[in-house]
Amino acid sequence: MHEMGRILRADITSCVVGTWFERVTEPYFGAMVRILAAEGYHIFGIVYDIQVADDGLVRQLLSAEGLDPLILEDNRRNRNVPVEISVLFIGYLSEGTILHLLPPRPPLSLDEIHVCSAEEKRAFTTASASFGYFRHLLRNEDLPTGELLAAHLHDLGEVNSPGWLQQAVQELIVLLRDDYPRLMALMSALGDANLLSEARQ
Amino acid sequence: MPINYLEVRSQVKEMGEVLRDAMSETQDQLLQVRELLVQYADQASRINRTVNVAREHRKSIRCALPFREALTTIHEEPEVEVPMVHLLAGDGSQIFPDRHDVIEFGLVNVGVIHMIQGDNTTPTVTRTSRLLYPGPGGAAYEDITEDLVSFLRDVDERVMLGERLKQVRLDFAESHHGEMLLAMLFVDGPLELFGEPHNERRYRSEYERYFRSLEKIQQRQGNIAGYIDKPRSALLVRTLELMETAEDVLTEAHQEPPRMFPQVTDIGLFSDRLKPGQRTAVFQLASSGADDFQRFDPAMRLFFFYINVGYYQRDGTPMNVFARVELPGWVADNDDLVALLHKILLQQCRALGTHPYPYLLHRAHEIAIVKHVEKDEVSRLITAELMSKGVATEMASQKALNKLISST
Amino acid sequence: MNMKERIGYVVGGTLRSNLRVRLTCKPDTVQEGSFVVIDGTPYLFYSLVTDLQLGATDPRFADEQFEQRIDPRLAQMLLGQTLYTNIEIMPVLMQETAPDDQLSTGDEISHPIPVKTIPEHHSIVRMAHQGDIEAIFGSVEKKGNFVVGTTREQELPVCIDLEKFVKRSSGIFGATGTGKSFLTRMILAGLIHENQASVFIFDMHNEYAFDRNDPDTGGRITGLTSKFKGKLQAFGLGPSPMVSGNALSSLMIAESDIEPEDILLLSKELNLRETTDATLNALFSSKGTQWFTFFKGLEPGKRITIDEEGEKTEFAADSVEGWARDAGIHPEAAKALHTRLRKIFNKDYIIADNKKAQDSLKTIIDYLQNGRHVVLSFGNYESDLDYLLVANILTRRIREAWVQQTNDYNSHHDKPKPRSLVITVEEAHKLMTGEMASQTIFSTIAREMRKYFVTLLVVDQRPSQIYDEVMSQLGTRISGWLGDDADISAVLSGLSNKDNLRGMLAHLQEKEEVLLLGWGVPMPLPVRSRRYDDEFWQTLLKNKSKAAGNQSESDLKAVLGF
Repeated sequence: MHEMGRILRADITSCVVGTWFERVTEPYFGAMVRILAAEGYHIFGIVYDIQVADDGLVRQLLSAEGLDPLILEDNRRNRNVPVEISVLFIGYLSEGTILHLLPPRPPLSLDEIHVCSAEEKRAFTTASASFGYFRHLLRNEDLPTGELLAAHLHDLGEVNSPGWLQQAVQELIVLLRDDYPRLMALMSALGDANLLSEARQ
Repeated sequence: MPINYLEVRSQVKEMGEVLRDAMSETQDQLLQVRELLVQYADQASRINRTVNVAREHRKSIRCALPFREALTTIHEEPEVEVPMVHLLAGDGSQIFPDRHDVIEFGLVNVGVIHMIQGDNTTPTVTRTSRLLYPGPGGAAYEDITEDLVSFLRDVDERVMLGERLKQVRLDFAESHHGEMLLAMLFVDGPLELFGEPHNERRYRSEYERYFRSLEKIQQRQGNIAGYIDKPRSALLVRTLELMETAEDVLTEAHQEPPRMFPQVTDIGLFSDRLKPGQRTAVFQLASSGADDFQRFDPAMRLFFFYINVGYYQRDGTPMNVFARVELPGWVADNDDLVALLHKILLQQCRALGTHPYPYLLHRAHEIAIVKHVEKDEVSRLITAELMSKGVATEMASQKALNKLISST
Repeated sequence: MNMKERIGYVVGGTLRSNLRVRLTCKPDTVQEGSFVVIDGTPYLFYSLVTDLQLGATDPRFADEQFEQRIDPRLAQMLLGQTLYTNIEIMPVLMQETAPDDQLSTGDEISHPIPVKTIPEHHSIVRMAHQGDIEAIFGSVEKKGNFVVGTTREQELPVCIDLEKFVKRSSGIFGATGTGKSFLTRMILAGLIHENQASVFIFDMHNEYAFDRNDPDTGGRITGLTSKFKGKLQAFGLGPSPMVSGNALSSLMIAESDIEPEDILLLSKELNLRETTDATLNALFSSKGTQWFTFFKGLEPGKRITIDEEGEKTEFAADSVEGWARDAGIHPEAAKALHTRLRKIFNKDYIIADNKKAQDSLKTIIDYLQNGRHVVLSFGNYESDLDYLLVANILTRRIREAWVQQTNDYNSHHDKPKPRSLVITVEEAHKLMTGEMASQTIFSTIAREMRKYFVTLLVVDQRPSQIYDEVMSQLGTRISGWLGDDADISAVLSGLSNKDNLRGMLAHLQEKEEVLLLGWGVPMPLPVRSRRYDDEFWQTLLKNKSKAAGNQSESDLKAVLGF
């Protein structure tokens, strides 16, 4: 399992994960993650933001001319680079059943969080034929939905069948067909992600 | 209750007038002192004599003595190539005792960062924490006060630096057989210690521990310096005042010779002549604290210089940022080392761009800093341990109970 | 239902306005007038498509050609969801579809009834199939059902019930060149073949009786007499009528059969004056049925001397002026009338010999009453004057015969029931227009609604000029393309859903498409009309017994020559 950090804070729809610099390459935008909230109770989420907070020292370093490589190394290796990863909840596993609903309880601080394996991704996304978890991704209009979905589908395209991908895109179109700007942004992002290329078919 | 702005407004007006008048007076004093600086620039012997006389009668006088150069000497940024040098910086943070805790404990946290200038090795950081608790003896202290904690923090900073230098030397010796290790050590604040908690029976031994650590640093060929940011000292100004004081006043034992230029600081004195990148001459520190250093080991006389770690802006206007650098005798005696120190300090300060400050000291501070949440965590640990050992008193139990309740 | 059959689902609408359906197939699958069925369990709603509308979930999807901006595969998926076609459909009939044991009517089979409710949202809509057509228009197998054409999309045969057809007067309309005559021939052939009524045809342009060449295609058009030998008798106007080298039985008109109204009907053709009515009244009042003969015998301008010197003269009593003087009619008016009536006086099919004329007329009536059919060709008498005069007189006389027979039947139950008669009139607007329209025999027949077992089959290209009341009484109307709005309105007069049907009428193809509407058909429907060709005759005459059999749809089509 790829542990990628620990929960800093959470509510019923999302959480923020803190991690250390060396682990920052683990989570990626659109990655599916799993939080071990309790025995037999896991929460699934999608990474929708990764923030590297600035601090006074970094700003000061940048205001100088040139950056000593040793100072760069020190910052990267020794400092607690405040990386915060924002995760949107998309469902949960309880007593062996995966549901595309918001979790009944949020995770607690310092709960472990892992990047999902291929089997976990497949199991979650195919647990329901109706792509119920899409509504969580679409609910918040402040998110970069198009990019997020394109990244997510691109990620899932590696583990699910081309048929699933087509159905997913179809479902998204249905869900967003009354929202022109968001739908076209999504289409543009999906096009750039080259999801439906023949190579993937 | 809301502020009575009507009252405050009139008081602010009054303050403005007072300060304006004061500034005007400061300007006058400044001009006078600058003239004195020039006047006495080359009179080292006379200055030494006057200061000694004054201090014989009054040990509390703190001032500066010329060392080897005229008072007005200014050094440009050295054009030396910095060789491979081990740079270490240490800083400390603390938890002061809190009467609301089950026991009033303290904690000193020291961070040390080690960087090898001229090498690709990743800098390393170390952190040590020392719990201070009241008790009848042994490792305990009679009474944990803020003064004690501050004092011990300062001591531990320098001691830990020395310990780290020791390890560095050992590691270096393993890989660089026969090579000399050049090391510069930095602490935030003066080398001279302040705030001696005389009521603590162990303070003297801590003091001596400090001196011994400095001694070890010297033995390990470490070159230490204390960096004082935004110095407000008036050491040289005091010296110039003494030079203008009548001898009979100087020899008056019952009261300190009056201040002639109380508004002027040393930085004010040099601000018109010390440009970015420059430093002053090295001066010797004359104070009771410095006397202690000297008594321990003559090689540990304390010296200092002022440096302008500022920069020139794009339009050529200087942005002055002054600091005072304290150094022990074995460093001050070596012109090359002083030049290297000068150079390294400028490099370190320039790394932080528009807010010049030695990078390593900043990092050391970061490493050492204790957050509130950490303080609470230690407090909880202590409470839990005492409760488990059945040590807490009834009142303490109540306190502890409150603490435990509030933490769940 | 086979999901492939479905074309959409209901998304909205009202009972008064039409229902809206979201198409789930390509728009070109349906067209205006398509016959569709809504499965609104427990009812089926038989409906017509009245409009097609393109829509988009957001107008920007329609405005922008995003196919050029995004991946083609994505664009295709997007098109399917954001751009859609809605159709408006007009439910006309509904039929309960519950299993037999749950039918509320208690009948074994429920019948389609006028729509009284609407289906719920998302009810599935499909194209009508053969079973639906048969449920509404009847089975091809059933006696009395005549295939008039096929549905345009799936070419399923559509029948009209000839028994119902003859219960009211009916009409066949269409602009010139739209094939009215062919359609009329087919209907008449059907009527003759099925023997639902006797047919009397006023063949103004000598088209129906005998074979002739099609001026457009050069092909041969079969005449009715060649196929219905013995059943259909051809008559011609005049002493020795001939048409296309064929000798016809002669029909003469007795002078005594001409009534003043017959003359008034010819006001436009004869350019009669306003005084005509008074003059005719005076004539009829004094001479009765002999007025025509009498007036014809008068000599205009004839004078006699009234003194011995021979100097003073006056108009003779047998002069036009003399009669006018004696009758109190202005001499000039009488003279003008006499002059104008000379056109009729000279007609050689109008004779004073009453008996000969009555005999030929009686022959015709006998034929018709005994189940045979008559076509009256006008031969060389092709003017409007001849047509109007003869058609009016004959129709009146024939109707009189039927009135008599009906009265006898009603009062004496042992008397035979009168045979149904359909009188076919072309250029009907000439007979049923103007100030006299309401007084013509045709208006009377139309109003009577088969009280005396006589109905009209009106064939015309200018229905707007036919008297309103006649138009509104027409039961079945079969209309080809019409270009004039007034004509379209006339065809639709008295019908509900005019606005919807208007569009269908206006958008028919010029040839081979007709709209069935009116009381005589269960619901309006555009159809591709049957072709009047050898195959038609083969099918019609071969298909003598409509025995039911398990014939497949394709077999049926083959049998029907499609």
